[in-house]
Amino acid sequence: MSEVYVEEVCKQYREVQALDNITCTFEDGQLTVLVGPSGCGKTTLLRTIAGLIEPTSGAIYIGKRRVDGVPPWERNIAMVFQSYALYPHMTVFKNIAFPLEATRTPKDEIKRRVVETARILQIENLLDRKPRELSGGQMQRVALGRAIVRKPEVFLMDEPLSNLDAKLRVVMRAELKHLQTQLGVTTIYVTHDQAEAMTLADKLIVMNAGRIQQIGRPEELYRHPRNIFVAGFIGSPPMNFIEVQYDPTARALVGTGFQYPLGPRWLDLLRNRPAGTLILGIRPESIQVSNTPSPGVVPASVYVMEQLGREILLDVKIGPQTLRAFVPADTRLQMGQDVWLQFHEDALYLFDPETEVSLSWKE
Amino acid sequence: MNEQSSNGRRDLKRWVLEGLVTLAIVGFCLGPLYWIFATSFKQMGTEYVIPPEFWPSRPTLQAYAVILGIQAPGAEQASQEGALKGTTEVKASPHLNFLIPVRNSLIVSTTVAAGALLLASLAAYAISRLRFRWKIQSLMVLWVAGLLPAVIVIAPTFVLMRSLNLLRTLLAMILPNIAYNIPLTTWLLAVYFSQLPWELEDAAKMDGYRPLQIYRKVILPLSTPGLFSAGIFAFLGSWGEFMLASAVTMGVMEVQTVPVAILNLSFEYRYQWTWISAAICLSVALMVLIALVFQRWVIQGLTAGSVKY
Amino acid sequence: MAVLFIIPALIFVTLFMYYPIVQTFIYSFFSLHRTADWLNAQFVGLQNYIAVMKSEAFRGAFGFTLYYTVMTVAFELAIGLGMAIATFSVHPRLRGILRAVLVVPWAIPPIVSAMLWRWLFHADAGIFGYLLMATGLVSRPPAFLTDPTLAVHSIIVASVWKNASMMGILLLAGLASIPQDIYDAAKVDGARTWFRFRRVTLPLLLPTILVTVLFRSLWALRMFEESYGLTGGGPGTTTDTLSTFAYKYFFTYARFGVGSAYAMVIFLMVVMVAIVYVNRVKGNLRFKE
Repeated sequence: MSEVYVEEVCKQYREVQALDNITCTFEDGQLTVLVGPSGCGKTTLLRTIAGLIEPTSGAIYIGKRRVDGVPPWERNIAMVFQSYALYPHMTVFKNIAFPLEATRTPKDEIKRRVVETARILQIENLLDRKPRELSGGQMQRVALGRAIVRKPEVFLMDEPLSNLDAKLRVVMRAELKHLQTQLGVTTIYVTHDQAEAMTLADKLIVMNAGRIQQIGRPEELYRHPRNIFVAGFIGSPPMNFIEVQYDPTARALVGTGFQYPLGPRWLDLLRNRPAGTLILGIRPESIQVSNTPSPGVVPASVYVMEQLGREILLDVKIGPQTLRAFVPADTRLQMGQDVWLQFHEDALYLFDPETEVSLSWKE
Repeated sequence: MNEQSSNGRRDLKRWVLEGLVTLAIVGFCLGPLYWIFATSFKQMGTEYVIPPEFWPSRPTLQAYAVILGIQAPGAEQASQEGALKGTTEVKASPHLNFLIPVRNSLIVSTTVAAGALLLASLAAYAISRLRFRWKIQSLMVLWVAGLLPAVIVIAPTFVLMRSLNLLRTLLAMILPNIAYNIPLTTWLLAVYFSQLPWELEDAAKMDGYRPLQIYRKVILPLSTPGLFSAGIFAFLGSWGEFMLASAVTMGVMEVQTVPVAILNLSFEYRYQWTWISAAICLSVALMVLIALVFQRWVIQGLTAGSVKY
Repeated sequence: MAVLFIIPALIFVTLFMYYPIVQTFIYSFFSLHRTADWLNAQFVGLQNYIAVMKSEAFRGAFGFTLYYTVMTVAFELAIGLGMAIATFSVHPRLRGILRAVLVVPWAIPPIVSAMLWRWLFHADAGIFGYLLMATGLVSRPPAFLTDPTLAVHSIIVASVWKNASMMGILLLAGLASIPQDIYDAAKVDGARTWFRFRRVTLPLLLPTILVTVLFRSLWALRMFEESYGLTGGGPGTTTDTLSTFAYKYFFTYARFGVGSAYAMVIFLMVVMVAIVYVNRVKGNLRFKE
């Protein structure tokens, strides 16, 4: 069990800066998720920690040991691949035994540990099969078995669930979380799926374009996103963004066809700010929709309705801009109908259009 | 900091090792060719000097001039040849003209490539895109033919060419070589065709096209790279063909292809290694150039035609 | 209808490949001494075969052909595998150079390659003889092409040069078709280089190795140009193969009957290997029905 510490790591490919000065800690025994869109550098970071990629500069520590420059086979780590990467010519038993054989474990101990691992993962009956005779879920378990059998210092998981169908993925997600908590091994988990990231993570690291955007617990990231990227990436459906003008004299935000009067909290935050453009962010689940006007509301018209069963996901238009909001499933609405949206002040986010950083963000 | 520099030293060590390995393989593959190349630029007679010059001190195009017929193999060389043979007899040699076999080989190889591509592309189209009853069997018949040794067909082919009065003509090489190259080209093209999107063909069928029209107007235009790489194999294959060529040309200079001509040159002027080297360089240059330029396709075709299937 | 597309190709292949095989088979039972006198050819039954089997020359050629096949394929495999692994492991920039270089010996026509090696093995001015002398291993250049034992091995060396890199290309394709994830998994699983090679790379490459070896054997068994161009079969008939004998009987001695019997022996040997080869790869000969 060890903490993993990454210090000022950069990875430069010819023209691309894949990792741009990454510094972060993966706490001992916790499950940390690296999340971001494809090409954001999360897999590169994971592979750098594994030793499959050498960083251009920076340092990596596993426990107290500095490991950059150490080959992967001496790092005492285990990795689960998206493709599972099972050895096709070996039985399940041999697959799970491989890391132990590679590190010269005595034969009887290998057998004992493989059988025990298989029992934990409920694959005892598959030990004699070859990978091609297994289903996706079974291969997943074997891959996990190969990772946990050697009791490594760190688990690295590269989108391990993305090859499973949607239903099985949810089941395996829960099992994985349970297993990780039980074993208490430091785990670094890469995914592009923010929902998966939110459910699994003790801690989330959001990455984009080779940089860390924000680090925090899932609910922190949801409540206090540092910038537009994180705000738009965490949460589903994503946060709505509207361009508005801040008018200090009117003490309000002015958008197309509406004026939103600001309360004392926001006026305090915007005290020193001149008039100008801001980006307003509001989550779909924080918008209240009514079909009668009242003071301080934003007029809009219904564009599309998606019946989700529990509720209706509504696309509404404010001038040229589209917003999404939820209404109860039994709400009667028609396309083109006028509605009025109420944004609760506490659920509101304002971002600087230049830096994209949240105005309420404090380092 | 310290560890960073040890990292750098390991990198250097790795680079040196990789460089040496690369050099060894390059030396293995190109060394023998280099030696022939160097020999072809030597002054006549100096190729026998011991210790040998690794690059001629006075490089000359003399050997090339001789085999291309620009310069007659003069009395000086002839007498030198006589000296080596231990006689003083001076033999007047006719002008050499290596351009004739090069021209012949170009004609044969180009025609063979074109012919094999035509027949093979038709067959490949049927195999990869149409339904018919004996498909797998026909494919097997075509494919297995590619594994047969030439020596088993050579005598009857010779007899056939004689009865058709085609001995000592280029056609006697062209026709059988088309057949020899059909198996591989059919296979390469069938694989290529089968990867084209089926929607194109369905769309063409809806527009009322018939198979032959689809083959001409949809499949062939989309398959230029595939045709090209299959064509390269037919070209290279027929360029190097020796057994049949040597049998049907029956020593007639005018119809000899490059491989036959080189062997004959090496018999006739067996002491003139600068000439033979120059001839080898000339005949290999084009092949090596083609193989290097189209390397990616050549490698694909090689693996598709032997291991991968 | 579709059959019309495939018929021209089938006709060509039948006319110039399958039909001649039948002809050769028939020839092998006749006494055909003069190429002009076909109509009065005399049926001699198995006499051609008996004569061939009885002859010392045949046994020599048969032995040499087998020895040559085993030796060249073994060395080509070893060197080809080495070159493939090297090419696979070096930096991508060097890999590009190596892949290009590996194609070169393959692109040279076999008879031209034989000529080339005749110069390298030249008795007076050959570079190999000189290098051996310069290193002090021998006092005078060895007779690479005229000493019986040396000639046999010179031919093998020349063939290995010509074909090892082709073998390397095929094995390289096999190496590249193993998913990168598998190599990476083995690395993080704690396997060192040699353990990875022995336990992961080699077993996964084995099917490719097998097919490559079978494929090369198919061609080695019919070897012709290397002997014909390098030594002409000499000294004596020590480096004559079944193919060079068949060819000489056809076109030097004009004895088509005996030549055909030789050709049939080669044919049978090739067919035996071909059956194994075809069975290994035919599963992949599939197209949408």
